[in-house]
Amino acid sequence: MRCFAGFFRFSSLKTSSVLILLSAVLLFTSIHTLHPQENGIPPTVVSPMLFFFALCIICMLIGIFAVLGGVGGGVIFTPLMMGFTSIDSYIIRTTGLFIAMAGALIAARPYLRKGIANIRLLMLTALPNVLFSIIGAFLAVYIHSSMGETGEALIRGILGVFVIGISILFICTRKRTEYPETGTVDAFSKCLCLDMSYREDSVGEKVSYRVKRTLPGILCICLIGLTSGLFGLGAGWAIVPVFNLVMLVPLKAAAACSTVMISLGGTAAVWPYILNGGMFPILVVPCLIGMTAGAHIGSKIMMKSKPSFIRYIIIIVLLCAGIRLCTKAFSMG
Amino acid sequence: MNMPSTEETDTPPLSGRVYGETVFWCILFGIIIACAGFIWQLKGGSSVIEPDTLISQLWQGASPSHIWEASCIGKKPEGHWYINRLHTPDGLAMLGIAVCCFSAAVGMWCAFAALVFSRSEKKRPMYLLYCILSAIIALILTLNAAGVF
Repeated sequence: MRCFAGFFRFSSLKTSSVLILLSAVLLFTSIHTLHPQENGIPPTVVSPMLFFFALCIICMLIGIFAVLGGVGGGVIFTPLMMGFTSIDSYIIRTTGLFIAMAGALIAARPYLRKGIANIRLLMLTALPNVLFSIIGAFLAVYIHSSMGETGEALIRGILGVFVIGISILFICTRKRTEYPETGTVDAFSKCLCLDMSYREDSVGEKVSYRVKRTLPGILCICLIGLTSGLFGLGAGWAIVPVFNLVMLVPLKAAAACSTVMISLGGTAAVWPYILNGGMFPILVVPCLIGMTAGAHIGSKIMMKSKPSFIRYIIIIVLLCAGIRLCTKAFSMG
Repeated sequence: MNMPSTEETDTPPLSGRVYGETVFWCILFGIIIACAGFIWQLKGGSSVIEPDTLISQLWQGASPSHIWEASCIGKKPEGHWYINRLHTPDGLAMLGIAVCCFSAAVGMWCAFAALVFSRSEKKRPMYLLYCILSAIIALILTLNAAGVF
């Protein structure tokens, strides 16, 4: 019995710590074993070792800033990589989606265990989100396969405008309510029985809330799913405001629901990319390790930093990435 | 108004807890497999696409079609290419990634089972609607992963 108890205590260790340990093992074992190619293939611009370390460090930095800025990794990773590297946008979007999805899948567990994420609201909104994410992903596959260079320029251009829009949204909308006032609930929301409660550990009290405006919320989620699938973004930056400001879910529950939602929508969107050969483990694994380690470090730094300062850095980074994407799209077009 | 109070909280729904636990362990398992495949690839195992070639192609901005043309498969694969290539490092790493991506579907099926078999869930209002919704989401995710769409 004690053995089992020990195992379960181990299982409750933070996943990020386990992943950092894994990455350390990975680095240790790979340092001595990387070998020069002897099969006549021309030498690469970047050695595999440098590629691995560079990606790990870049993604770690992205992970740190993402946590400090309160956004998911995908929204920074995809525009930055598309704007400032020569890697094909289809491959970057596949990797970005996977990173966003993996992070959300890991983070979903404590929210659902404590009941902070409203599973009923999730089941209701995940269905349109999943469907529209798949449509978005197939649209991306279609644009990539049928439009070639023009399609690539189109995706970069639209994403550039989109990212600039997100950064403007970050500047303008600071109106987030921790416990929104619900007032009268519409009949549709009432009949779906979405009301829920959770224990707020910071004050040691129960928070009961009622969900309002379900139909407009679902319509917004459809649009978010489409953009998530098309551009390979996690879209937590959009889901949280929809839950919090449209459907009047308390901020903490909205953030928790958004994480679980990304885990479902991202999973749905990533398969069309994978099945069309867009996923390469040599790119994905270092990014995953770097982002997880970065998120872990970021959560430690968060205790001592000024979030508003970090928020401005993210806005500047997103603006730069957006402008760079637009200029790149124009030069390609 | 949605405000904190000193009342006792309800037990979190079983379906949610089951989904959270299932996806967590599935993704951890998938990440371990992916890392094992990646280490094997760095150790110099015979890959479907040699790391040097792949990095070179990626850096030059080659599309997936061009990259796959340089692989031992010779053309862009359709569907789950890694299943027949589990003896290669990148095939194994890709299996790990696929396990990660399939975890949400497994989790949703488990959540559906929890909804069907749990007595506490049956007491909640609109129980049948959420049963059907979870089954539809699980089915869509499974068919999507299978490449049916």
